Amino acid sequence: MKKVLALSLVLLMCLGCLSVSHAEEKPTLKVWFAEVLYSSIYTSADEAPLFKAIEEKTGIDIEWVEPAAGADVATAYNLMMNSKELPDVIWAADISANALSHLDNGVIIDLAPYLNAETMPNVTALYEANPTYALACKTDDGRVFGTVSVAEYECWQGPWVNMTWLEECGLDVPETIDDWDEMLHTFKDEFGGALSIVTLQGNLFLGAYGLPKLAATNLGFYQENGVVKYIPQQEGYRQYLELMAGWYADGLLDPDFASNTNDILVNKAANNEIGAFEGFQVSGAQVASAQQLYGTTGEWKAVAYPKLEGGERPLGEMGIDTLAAATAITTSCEDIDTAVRFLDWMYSDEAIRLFNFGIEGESYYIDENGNPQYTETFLSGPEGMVEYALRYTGIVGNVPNIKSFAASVARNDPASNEAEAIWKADWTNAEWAQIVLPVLGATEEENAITNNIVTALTTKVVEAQYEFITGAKNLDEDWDAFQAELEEIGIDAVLEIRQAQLDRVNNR
Amino acid sequence: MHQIVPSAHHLTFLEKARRDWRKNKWKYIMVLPVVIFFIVFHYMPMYGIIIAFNKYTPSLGIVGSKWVGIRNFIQFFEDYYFVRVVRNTFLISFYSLIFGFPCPIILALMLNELRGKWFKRTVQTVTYIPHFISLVVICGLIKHFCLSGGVFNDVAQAFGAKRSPLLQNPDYFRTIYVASGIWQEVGWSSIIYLAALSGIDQQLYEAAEIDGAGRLSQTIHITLPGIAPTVIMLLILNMGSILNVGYEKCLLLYNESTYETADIISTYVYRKGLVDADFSYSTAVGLFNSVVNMVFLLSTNAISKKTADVALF
Repeated sequence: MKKVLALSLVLLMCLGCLSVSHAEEKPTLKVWFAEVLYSSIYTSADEAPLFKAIEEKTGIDIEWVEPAAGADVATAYNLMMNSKELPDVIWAADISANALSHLDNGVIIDLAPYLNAETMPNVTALYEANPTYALACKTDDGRVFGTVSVAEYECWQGPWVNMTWLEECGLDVPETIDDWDEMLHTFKDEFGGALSIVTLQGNLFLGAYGLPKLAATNLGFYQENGVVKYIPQQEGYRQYLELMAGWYADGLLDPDFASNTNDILVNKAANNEIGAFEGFQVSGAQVASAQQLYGTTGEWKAVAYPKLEGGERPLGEMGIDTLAAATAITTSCEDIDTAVRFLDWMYSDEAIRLFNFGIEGESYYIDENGNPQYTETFLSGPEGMVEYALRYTGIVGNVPNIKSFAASVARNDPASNEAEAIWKADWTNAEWAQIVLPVLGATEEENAITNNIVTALTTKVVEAQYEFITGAKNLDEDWDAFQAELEEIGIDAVLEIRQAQLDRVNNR
Repeated sequence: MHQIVPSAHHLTFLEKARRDWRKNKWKYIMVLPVVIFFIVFHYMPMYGIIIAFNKYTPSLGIVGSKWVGIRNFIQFFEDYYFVRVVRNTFLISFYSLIFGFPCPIILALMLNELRGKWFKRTVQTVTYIPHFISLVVICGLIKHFCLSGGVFNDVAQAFGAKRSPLLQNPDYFRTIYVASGIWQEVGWSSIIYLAALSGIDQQLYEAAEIDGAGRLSQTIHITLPGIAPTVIMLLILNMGSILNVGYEKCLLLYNESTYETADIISTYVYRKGLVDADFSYSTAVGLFNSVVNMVFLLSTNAISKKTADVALF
């Protein structure tokens, strides 16, 4: 009996080996990622539909490697990069910070020889259409450390106006600063409330004077014709402050503007205490739900950024598409051709649609115009849009390719899309890339100088802004002292360094 | 024949240790995990302070990063706003101490005088519940109350003052900070004083009453000296965290209009961290804080030992 059992086991094993040897030889890759998020209902990436679809469409057998659950991403990334066991491909990680040392130490490979129409057609086409994307992943000496991660920037913020009040006063939708002046005065006289803002979110009138918004994202630095400039030093900023100070003195600006948060603004709007504020794309919806709560009424609509009478188009809220994240191939990858093909496939239309819209039939369908649209379940299903996005798409977290604007439009409600379109007006992302500074690579010596100065500068600027607007300091008498203080803190040194960094980026 | 019997005064150290171990073996074993915990999680990580003297990069590790000596400290001392943030930290801390320290004592003394048990318990419960409310919730309430249209301004207007956003006036910031802190902590802190009060011998009070002392006299001459050791110990401990003004409350309550009085070391360094994630710099600032705290702790301890004969160490 035992002999029969042993023989049959041996036979089964032989059969097993035979069947394995008949299997196809698929190329394999080991892909490491930490910031491409998927739903927690899947215990590993192999189960998630997105990753299965990637393996299916590329025909590559992929081993997905992630840091342990709950691990700190930066630490896990550093541990991985410094270990002897590197994966083949690193997806959407913050490589650019140490790209030069990684290339020099032989951790990742230089992709420059592969960046041509033959081996990487999709990426080459993308870079040709958007030259700034190409610069984002190059080092100063011309080596390429990875392929870029892109999130097509939208106009997130802009002015909202109470249309009910506007109609009652018989005014048109304001287009210029003078229109706004008239409207706010009328609002104040008729209804007792006018404009409310949240500082560093509320510089929506700077654009009329030709300057981008002074925000925490740019810290006041922007470029014009390749020259780095600082917003608080410009004449346009002074004129903007004059405007704001005048409105504050007339009682048109909410005195709480420094203590405000977005929730407080929405509350005031819903309670008809103010007639205009700066909000986000979703502010209309937020005000509407607050109105339901309080039982108040009032129609709010997004309005275009105002310009000066007879002036040029105003600068609205703007940003750049490229992120600091990138995807790289490591030196321990044996099958570089497959890796290159894999990286390039990520930028194909098929892959972009997969990441942004998910699985056809599950999270999206093709409408009569041939455009992908999200399904009803995705948009308003019981688990919430974020959960469905985590399950079927790759847009929560960082993407190793592109978060497309079209997907954002398909996701948002019509009011948000309308608001975005109104605020963007006829600006293009390429034009924005000419004004907003790109991701600048900084050397250690440069950082040692700038880091100390920039925080002190920002503190001084926001304090001075408050003092000028409320009238504690006079714009005629104290402006020069303010400029002198900026110089004392060290703005010139920072401008010099930022200019050098920008020149290096542009010369790549 | 003389037998040499070791008397209690001539035991060697080893013999004493052995006796101690035999008697208290299980107590030592019970405290062993705690000691290990402190060694592993508090003493061993101290070598990480090296980061304050390095230019720390995560990929090079703590020991492998470039040594820069005291450059991080010099950078901190030379900052444009160094004097202001240190001054604000000290002042907020001192005001909290001066106004906030006596309040739980006074509350405990008053509670001690209460006769009605039900009323006493209600007051205690009501006063110490705010301690359990999250700081974020309390700061949210404060921010809403301090708006121009908020409750505080309603009250001010009833008294004839003009409405103004209270959290945008640098002169009011410390008052709001300290007052809300007292409101939140007075009940909880009074518990320890109530415990100390219950330890005072009742016979002392009876003797004093026989001698003709009134209530106030009794308080000054019996109660206060009775809780004095507790008070001084808590005072020394509080001085040891003089520069540790938590950044959470200031961060939640401040805005650019009150930077002049509200910007403290930790909030300033926090804003710096948003720009440049410099581990070395923040460790250096933290080390500076710790050193100053320790100087205060030790000097208060020494002063207290000299004057009141009560000391922690």
